[in-house]
Amino acid sequence: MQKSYTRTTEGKRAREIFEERYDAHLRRTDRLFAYLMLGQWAAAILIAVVLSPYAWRGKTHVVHEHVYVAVVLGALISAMPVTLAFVRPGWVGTRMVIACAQMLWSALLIHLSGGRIETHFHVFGSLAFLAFYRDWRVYVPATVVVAADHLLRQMYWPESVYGILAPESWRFLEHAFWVVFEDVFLILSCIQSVREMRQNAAQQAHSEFTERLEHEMQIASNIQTALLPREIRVPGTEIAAKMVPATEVGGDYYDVVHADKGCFIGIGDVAGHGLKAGLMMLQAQSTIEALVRGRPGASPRDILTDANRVVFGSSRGRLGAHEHMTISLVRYHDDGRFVMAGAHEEALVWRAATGRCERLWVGGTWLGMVEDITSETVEKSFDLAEDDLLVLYTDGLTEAANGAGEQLGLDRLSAAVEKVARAPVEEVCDYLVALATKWAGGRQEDDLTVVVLRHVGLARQAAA
Amino acid sequence: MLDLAAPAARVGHGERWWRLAIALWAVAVVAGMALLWRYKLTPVAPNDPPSRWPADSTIERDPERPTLLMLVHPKCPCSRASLAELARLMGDTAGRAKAIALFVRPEGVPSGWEQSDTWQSASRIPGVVVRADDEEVEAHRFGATVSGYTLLYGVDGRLLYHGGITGARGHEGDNSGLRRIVSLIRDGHADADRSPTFGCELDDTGGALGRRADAEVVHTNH
Repeated sequence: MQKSYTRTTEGKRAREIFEERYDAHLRRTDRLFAYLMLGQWAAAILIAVVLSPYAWRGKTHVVHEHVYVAVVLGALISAMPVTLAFVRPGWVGTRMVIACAQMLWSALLIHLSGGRIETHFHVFGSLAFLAFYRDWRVYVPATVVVAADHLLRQMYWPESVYGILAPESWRFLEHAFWVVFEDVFLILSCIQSVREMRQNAAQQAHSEFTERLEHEMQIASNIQTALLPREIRVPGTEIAAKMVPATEVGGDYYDVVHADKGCFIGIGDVAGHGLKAGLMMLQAQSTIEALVRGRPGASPRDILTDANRVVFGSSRGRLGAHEHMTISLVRYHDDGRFVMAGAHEEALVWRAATGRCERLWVGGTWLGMVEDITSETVEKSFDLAEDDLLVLYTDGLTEAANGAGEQLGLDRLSAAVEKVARAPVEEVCDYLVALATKWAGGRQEDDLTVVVLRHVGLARQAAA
Repeated sequence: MLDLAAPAARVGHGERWWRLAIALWAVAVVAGMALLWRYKLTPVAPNDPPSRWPADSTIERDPERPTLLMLVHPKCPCSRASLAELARLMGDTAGRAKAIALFVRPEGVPSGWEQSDTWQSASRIPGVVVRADDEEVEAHRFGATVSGYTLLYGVDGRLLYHGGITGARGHEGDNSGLRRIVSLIRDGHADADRSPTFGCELDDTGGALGRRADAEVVHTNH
């Protein structure tokens, strides 16, 4: 449905561009022919004045009729097309009149030049000029004028067009053939030109849409980035997080919201990525933050089940969308107690005492899938000792695949955490992201998010 | 297909009046073209020429081959077409006739008045003798009234053809007069012995010379 709407809108824009350009082209061509009409008028007067200024009777003379013809009839022929070209440019009637006038100019110039064979080339030149319009219909009146001229000449003055007094009946067809011969190619040229104009318009419309979409995606990306927590300072902890979207707008989610004596840490992943996934992520983020701020003492399970109702209601109920997301919500207490709910990835808990990672899985269901997830949502509690790490991540990290299709996996991730766990949390975060990126050979097919939390304890932190 | 109604729709109303104006314009243009045709196709009726070569003519007739005489007004722009046709005629007949272009010089004009650009054009036609007709003596003698008027006399001095060798006033191109003369010179016969003449009048007296006639009247003489 979205694609169909986009195509329709793009097609409409392509038509708009074509019509706008074609109209401008027609107006330009009308003006061009207006100047040509005036030029031909001037040329006709010049020809008449130079070649036949006077008609003579003995030793007396008067102005030659050719001069009057050039001035008066020339003005008459040019008046209407020139007026229309400036008063009603682009109108179909304007170019039809211009086509007629152009062919009449051929006839007049042939008269004024004394029937010189060279002047007859003006007929074919004029037909070629009319192709400037890229409108095959102008050849209809132009050809009718030529045909009418030939027909009348055949009836009343055959030698002026055929060179002989009694031409064969097929002579008309022979002359018509050459005009139609040129017409056919020029008409094909017009049709082809218009087709190319349409293609160019379609390409521009597509380009405009792509550009606009990219711009909008960039705006969405900026909004999403702006909404991420910037300085994460929670008493008793050191927290670092990093999100790398696969496209401009990611479908991953993480947030840290302060609560009484601790905080809530959320991490999730909307199915898919792109604008729609990003929108759902934003909705989940704002909903959870609002719920946590409204009820800072609530359990992660309660927050999630309430958030699910909101997300489900607006996503499925109002938007008719079918997106859903995995999510884990962790309640941290500054004494090292954690409560976790939600069915996201297994969390990693690195124990400073052993230097080893433990995996922590909490069952549940997706957010936004069904209206009520109360029965499926469970909680799990655990403690962290000082210097222990909690590592939360999205599947973009563990499912990063190398050229052979082999995923990074949880084992390699655990090993990597164990390797760098004693480093500052920012470095741990960067290391894990770099590891996944390197493993995938620089390619990134999914959004990637890591949150690393080290429990340092209030006392030690205060001392430091 | 093109939606060419769109630009038209943008120009607003009043189309009906424009269509009426265009129709009136078309009628005016057709009327103008018709007047032009009428002017171009209206010949000048000549006087009757002598049926035999005038004995008192100072122009020498060729006793061995037909003699063609064209009377030309030196300033007549229409006669350029007649001379162009004469050049074509000379090419077609390849010296089988003697050709003389006689440029009239009316009484009262200075000497050299007849040395116009058409004189120069005539001089460049191979085989054509160009000479002046002082005070239009020979023009009167041959009954010529209009520039481009051409006469063809046979070897026995008998008039074979008289009239123009253009199809319209100042209009180049094949025409009946040209074909008749060529036929007479080549084959000794033609379908008619005259054709209409188009051009400036040689004399300004308005009496014996230069009377306009309807083309129809002249054509009935064919």
